[in-house]
Amino acid sequence: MELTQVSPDAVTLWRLAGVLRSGFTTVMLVVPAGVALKVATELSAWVAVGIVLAAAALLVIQAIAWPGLTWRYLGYGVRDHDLLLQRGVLFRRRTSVPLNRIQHVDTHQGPLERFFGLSSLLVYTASTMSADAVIPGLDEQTAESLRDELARRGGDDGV
Amino acid sequence: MSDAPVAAETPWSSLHPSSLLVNLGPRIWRAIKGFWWLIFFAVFGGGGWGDLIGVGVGLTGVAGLGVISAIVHFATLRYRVHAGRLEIKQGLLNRQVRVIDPERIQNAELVRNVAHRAFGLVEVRLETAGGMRTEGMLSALSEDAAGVLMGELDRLRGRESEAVLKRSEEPVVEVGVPELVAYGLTSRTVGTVALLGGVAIQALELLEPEEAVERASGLGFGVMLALVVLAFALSFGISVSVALTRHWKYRLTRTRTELRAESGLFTRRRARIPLEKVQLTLADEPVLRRLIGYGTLSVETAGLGSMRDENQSSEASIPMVPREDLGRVSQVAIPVAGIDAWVDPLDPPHPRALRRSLYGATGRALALAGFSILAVGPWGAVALILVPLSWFAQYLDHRAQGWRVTDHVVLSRRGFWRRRTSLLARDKVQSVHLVQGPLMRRHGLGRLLVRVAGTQVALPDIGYNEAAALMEQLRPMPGTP
Repeated sequence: MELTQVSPDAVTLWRLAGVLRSGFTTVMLVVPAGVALKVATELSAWVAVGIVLAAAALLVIQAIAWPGLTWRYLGYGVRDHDLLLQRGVLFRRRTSVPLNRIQHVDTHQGPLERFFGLSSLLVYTASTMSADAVIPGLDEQTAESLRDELARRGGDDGV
Repeated sequence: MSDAPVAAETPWSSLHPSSLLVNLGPRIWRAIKGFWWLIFFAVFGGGGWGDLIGVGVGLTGVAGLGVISAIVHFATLRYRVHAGRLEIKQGLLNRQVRVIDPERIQNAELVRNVAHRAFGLVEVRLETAGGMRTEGMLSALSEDAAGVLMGELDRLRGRESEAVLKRSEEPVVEVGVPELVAYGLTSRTVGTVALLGGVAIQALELLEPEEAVERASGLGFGVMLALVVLAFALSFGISVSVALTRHWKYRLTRTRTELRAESGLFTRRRARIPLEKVQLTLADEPVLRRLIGYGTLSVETAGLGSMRDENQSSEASIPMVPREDLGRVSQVAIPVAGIDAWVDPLDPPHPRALRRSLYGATGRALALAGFSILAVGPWGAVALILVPLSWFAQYLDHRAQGWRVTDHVVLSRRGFWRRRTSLLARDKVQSVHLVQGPLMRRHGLGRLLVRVAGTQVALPDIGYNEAAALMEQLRPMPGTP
């Protein structure tokens, strides 16, 4: 079955979120680690700054490059009897959630997602406390119609 | 306005008045147990009688809260079966009303500790799917009231009466004292020894730190060895005592529709597990237990079982089952299984799975050796011995793995040192996941994870295409209960 890809706008959203995360990580972890390295090893200040900048650059590059790959390998499809979800770049996971096992379905929007008009869909069965399947980066209308369709087709919980 | 008929008001029932006394001890204990560290430092801190008296006064206050809690519990808890559902309300400041559909009850347990027995009472625990705690808890009912309640819930669930069920009851497993002793001896002990050692050292240091160090360094090899042996003996003793207390006179029976487990020395538990609610059985065979010809079998529903360990599980955790009986007992719990994992041949993992796990193990062992060399110098290279050892361990693990998927069950066996065999009812499958890491992709492998409520079972690594086909086969179709 051909899987549907999520909104291309999701790549921009994930990049922006990744850059913000990288900035936060740099300030909270990388810079203090650089200072600690300088104090502990008596490195010259320029080398320590270089290491910090290189680490920060790597984080930003990862934040910009990775979302494209994430988007490429993320896909979903609603079949007759199940929701099929595929995700993961290095570690790939294909999930089949039988429609008759769905307990409830949530849509979730953070501030950045709201700005881009995107939504995440969370599908719950009786198996775990957390969602069995999460589809990020859907546009709002798709997420809502998918949520309503899946909730309507949910059935016996099998427990 | 709705025209639906309104059920006549059913009067609320309360706990037995003796529940005040029965609940007093546990509630006081619950209130003060969080302050064990205070007692520890008051006794060993060297602060003298002043500290002890201060802590005593503080703990008396906390215990007073436990007493108030027991009174409020008795005064506010009410229950009834109304309009086909069990309703429990309780609470003084925070009031809670809980409604439980009898059809959703996964398993029921009747518990009698020493106090319950002295007053002829019983604690009723009803578990539904999910949640971290027992959903329906009635801490002290008279035996008659508990019988009436359970009979009413059975009737609402369309179950046969207790008298009819009793007639069809037949024994499945009984566990005697020698087997329980063996169970205790083959349970985890190294952790207990470490804990005992840690507590002993801490206590010595608190009493007289310098003297403790001086005395410890003056001990000869023989004394040290004797202390280690003593610690192990103590640990084994604790382990055996726990096993005997918890599983005393363990007995599993089955009726036409349910499993019944009974066990316990001071606190006697009687669990009832409807066969239709059984999701999986898990046979645990640690190498020592396996060597003496036994394994532990857990029968799990969507209740709390999967979140507790084998000593706490409220469902049927059968401590010792002869290995030749593990398959039979598993099939008693899941009658449609039609396969005995200890007799019938299982499918092996993919041959390339061994190569993949060897690569992974080699990488981990080399990394550890590298760290050792960095940490302790050239002598750290001794850790390279881990490389061939890890190969051998992976080979043993690979050989122990097996799986089968039939029309009714998924069977998976993994682990050499701690062999675990899961038998999972296919009609309970919630979702199926196919995972593949970079090394697995390189070898064309995939791993299936099959989830039921509260737990998941991983199959051994098989060919990716075969795993993908199995995934299609495993998802339940509409109409599957």
